[in-house]
Amino acid sequence: MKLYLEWINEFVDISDKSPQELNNSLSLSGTEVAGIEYP
Amino acid sequence: MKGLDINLQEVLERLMKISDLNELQEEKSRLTGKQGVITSLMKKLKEIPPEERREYGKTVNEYKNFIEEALNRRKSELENKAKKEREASERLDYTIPGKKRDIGSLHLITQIMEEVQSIWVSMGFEVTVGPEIETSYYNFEALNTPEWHPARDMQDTFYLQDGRLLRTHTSPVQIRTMESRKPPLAIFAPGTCYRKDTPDATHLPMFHQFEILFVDKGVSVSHLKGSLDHFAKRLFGEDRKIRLRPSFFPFTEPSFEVDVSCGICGGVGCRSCGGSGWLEILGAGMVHPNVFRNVGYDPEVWSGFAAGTGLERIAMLKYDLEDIRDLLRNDRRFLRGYRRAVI
Repeated sequence: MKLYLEWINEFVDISDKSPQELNNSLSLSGTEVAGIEYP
Repeated sequence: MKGLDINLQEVLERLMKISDLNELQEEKSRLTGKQGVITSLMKKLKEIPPEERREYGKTVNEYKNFIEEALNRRKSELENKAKKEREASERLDYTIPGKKRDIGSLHLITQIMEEVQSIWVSMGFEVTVGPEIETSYYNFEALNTPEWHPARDMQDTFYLQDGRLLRTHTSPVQIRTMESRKPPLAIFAPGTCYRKDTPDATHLPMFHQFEILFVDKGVSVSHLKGSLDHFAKRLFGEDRKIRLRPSFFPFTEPSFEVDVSCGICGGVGCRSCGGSGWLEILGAGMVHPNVFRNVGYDPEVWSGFAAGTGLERIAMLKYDLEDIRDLLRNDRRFLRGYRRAVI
C-alpha cells in the first residue's frame, strides 16, 4: 500500500520527522517499509 | 625334363595372387621347405639315371633359385605395401589444431556457499546436513508450525505420494541435530530446498538455504545480533550495518527480519534499495520454547538463536544480479563473469 506523508499527517503530527526517520520508526515497530518514493 | 613335374608359370601366378605375408610364408615352406616341392625333387636325384643326374640337378637348382628369387621379390613387395598402408594410417598432421580444454570454475552459488560457510565455521559453527526428502513432522510440526499454516498447503509444498515432502527450508536439520545431541551446540546447515513457486525474477522452485543454530545457557538477542553483525561485515564489507526488524516465524520468538545497510547509498536511500536504505538478508530469532520441548530440551534451562536465508538472495545482493534465473541458465558468458578458477 502506498501512503502519502501528508495523509498520515492528518492523523498524527509527523511534521517534524524526515521520511527517513519515519521509515526507521515504522520498520522497527513491525511495519515493513518497502520503499520511499519522491514524486 | 623327366621327373620335373613343376610348372614355373603356375608357381609365379600363385605367388602374385598371395596378398598376405603369412600366406606367403606357408607357400614358401610348401615350395622350398624340408617337406617342400624342391626338396622332394632333390631327393629324387638318386632315382635318376646317372647320365642325366648332372643335368637334372642343375635344372632343379635353377628352379630352386628361380622360386626363391620370386618368393623374395613377392615378400618385399608385400612388405612395402604393408609399410605404406601403415604410414598412411599413422600419418601425423601437425597442422590440425589441438583439442581445446576450457578452464573450469566453481558455480557462483558454490562460491557463495563456501564463503558463507567459512565465515560461520571460523566462528565455531559445525557443518551439519540432513535429507532433502522430509516428513511433515520434521519440516513443520516439530518446528511449531500448525496444521493450518499456509506454508503447509499443497500449493506451496511439494508432497510425495507417500505423504513425505521435499523440505521447504533447512530448519528440519535443527530438529534432527537437537534430537540426536545434547546442548550446547552451534551448527551451520547448508542445503537445497524446494517450494512450489513459479520461477520468476525473484523465485525458484529449487533454491539453497543456509541456517545457523546456537544453543547454550543464557543466550540472548545480543548474541544473535553480534553474530549476524560480524557475518554481514565479513560478507559484505566492514562499513555495513545491520538492523533487526520485528517479524514472525512459528519456530522463533521473538522473530526478526534482518536488514543490511545498502552498499550503494550507504543507508541514505537510493533506487537500488527502494529508497529505504536497507536490504533484507536474513530471517532470525530466538528458538521458540515449543521447539525445545519437541526435542526434549528444557526451555527453562536452555536458550538459543537461529537464523537462515536463501543463498541465491545473498548472491543477488552481493553481485547485484537482476534475475535469480540467471543462476540456473548456465549461460557461460554469465558464469565466466563470476569465475574463480579451481586450482
